Amino acid sequence: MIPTFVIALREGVEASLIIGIVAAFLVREGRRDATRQMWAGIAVAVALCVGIAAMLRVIGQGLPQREQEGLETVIGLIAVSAVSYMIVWMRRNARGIKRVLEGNAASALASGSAMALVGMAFLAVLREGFETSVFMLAAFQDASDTTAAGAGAVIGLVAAIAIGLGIYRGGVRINLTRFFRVTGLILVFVAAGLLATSLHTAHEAGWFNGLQSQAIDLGWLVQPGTISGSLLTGMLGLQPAPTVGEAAVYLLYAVPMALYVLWPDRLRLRPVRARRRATARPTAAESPA
Amino acid sequence: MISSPLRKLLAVAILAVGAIAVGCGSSEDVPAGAKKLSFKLTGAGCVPHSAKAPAGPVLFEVENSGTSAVTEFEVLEGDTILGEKENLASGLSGSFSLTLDAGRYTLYCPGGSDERGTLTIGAA
Repeated sequence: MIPTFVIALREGVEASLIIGIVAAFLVREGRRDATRQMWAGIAVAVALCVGIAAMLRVIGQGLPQREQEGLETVIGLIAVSAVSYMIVWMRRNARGIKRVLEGNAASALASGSAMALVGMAFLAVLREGFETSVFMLAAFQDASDTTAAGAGAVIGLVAAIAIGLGIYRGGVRINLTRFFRVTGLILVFVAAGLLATSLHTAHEAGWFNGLQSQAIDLGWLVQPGTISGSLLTGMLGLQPAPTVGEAAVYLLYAVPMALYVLWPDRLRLRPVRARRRATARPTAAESPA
Repeated sequence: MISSPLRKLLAVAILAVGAIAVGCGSSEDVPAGAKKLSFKLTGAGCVPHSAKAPAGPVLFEVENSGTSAVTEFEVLEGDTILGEKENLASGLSGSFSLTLDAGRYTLYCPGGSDERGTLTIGAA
């Protein structure tokens, strides 16, 4: 039961995490209309994945591995841009958010951005969905003990969904500024993980074969076949043996972005602030003579 | 009535299905006369650790015989993955076929205590 549990958990938790944050974000922004569309999109994605997996099974074909990995790479890169946009949006608006709420202003989130988030939730499901569906069907039909394997896979998926739900609940409740800081930081690591995973899937798709020597042994932390290992791989994109390329893109993304999210407002670089204030309301000192 | 964002999602979905469908039938059909090689995934890695076959089509049959440390089997040429099977939990099995030229290839079972083995393809 445990082997299928950890795989289903790993495959499901990334999408669940992204959906949990997107849903909390949309609800907090007062975009319940977009939340409904998000659920519709997710339902379509799940139906597609299960449908394709069932069809492949009926015609006796496996999932074409290279095409699947290529699809995961493309969707992964789209998701990285969408998550990055979300991080920047949150960071920019974290300061002004109290004023916005006090002034009871309308949502600052443009409808195009809300739709981009709806699309992101859809793609997050599609990314691992095909592979997960194929795996789930195999667990139910091919395993030596189908009851245990099937039950493990289902419970793993339920656990993944529960984690997303927990993040959504927490995200809806906590103080908004803190929500933006905390989710911003989580998203930095999720996006860095997605970037590293996309490089990994690009390698599996046969698109990228450089920098494949092992950078560091994380086997002590990300233990294959364990629940903690599944969560670290699924949520943060950590591999037990990351390659040089994967470690490089992870750090190149995570370090500057984490600094960007955590940098205290009062230490902002002055020129940016001065310029912004100057355009908004020139003061005597800053306005040209 | 379908709202426009949903229509966009459906368009993406149809593209994805197309990509998957194009791949079907090309990579999974087992060529006639393929040499069959069977492997088991164990905590030690791929068993057998090394294998030989003549050049031409090779069918890889992989079964997990009870390890949770290794759930993936790959065949590499240098750093390039030629074929793989993922998510083989304990008790699951899978297969794929490749057409290989003479040479040395790597059998890779990530997570095993000795994760890299060799596949030697001889002249046809």
